Amino acid sequence: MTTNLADALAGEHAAIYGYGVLGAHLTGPALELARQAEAAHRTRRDSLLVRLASATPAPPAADPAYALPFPVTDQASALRLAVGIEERTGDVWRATLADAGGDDRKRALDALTDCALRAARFRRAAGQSPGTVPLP
Amino acid sequence: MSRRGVLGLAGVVLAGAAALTGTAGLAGCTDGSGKPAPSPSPDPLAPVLSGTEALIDLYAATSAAQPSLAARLDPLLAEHRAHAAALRTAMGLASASASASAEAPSPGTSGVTVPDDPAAALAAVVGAERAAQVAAVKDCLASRPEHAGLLGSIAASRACHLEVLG
Repeated sequence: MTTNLADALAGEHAAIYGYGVLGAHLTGPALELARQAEAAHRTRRDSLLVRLASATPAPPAADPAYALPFPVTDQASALRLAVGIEERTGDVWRATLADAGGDDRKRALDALTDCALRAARFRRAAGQSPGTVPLP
Repeated sequence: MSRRGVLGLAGVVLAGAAALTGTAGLAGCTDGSGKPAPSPSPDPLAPVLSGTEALIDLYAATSAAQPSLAARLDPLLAEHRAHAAALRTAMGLASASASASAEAPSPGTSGVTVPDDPAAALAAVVGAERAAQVAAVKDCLASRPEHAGLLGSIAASRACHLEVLG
């Protein structure tokens, strides 16, 4: 169980890094979306750090840098990365649902739902409508 | 030491939805009589599927009766149909027959009454979607481990629908 939450923590670390990269390429409403998303991922990360404070092995620290799946050079690629971040982070949280019980499953479902909502918002910001997917 | 940032992973995390091993999905011999009697099934996903099918009926009837709403409702209707298909797969059921998930709703047979006023019709859809989202959250939190991923995705999808429907 804690292994999966550690995976989720690693995903949140990566998401925060990604938003640090892509924010510089956004303006206006899209930038505001990205700021809100980054803040939400920081909140999830901090909550997980508290949850895993006494876990063994110790929860993963953030890497200094993460490989990006493609170069981020403009608003379009920044939005594409934001969608990818939310999809991947949501995938990790969904994978934790099976073995998580009680409060941990609620935490994972809330996180998965938030990732799905943000992914859809970024798809809409990129011009897609309605920007939803069947099984986020 | 190979450091592989999560962002760089090309692979896809597999949701644990593939546990179809040996579930006894053959309770009750079906006969050929017309009405699909809702025999009490031990499958915990059966109520989720029936709730999803009710949503599909409501969306389809509303889209047909209120053409001005169709562009908004039809993409979401398609996602509800995808949920039903995923649930049937997880339950070990055959995919819906053409008659069960026909693209065109059969007016008068689904038992859905659509308000004449488009705003009222939309409000009815939103209310049903909201109730279904709450139900999916409960179902996910109470589910067996092997169903939690699928039910979590359905709950998240319905939350996204609510945002789209505004």
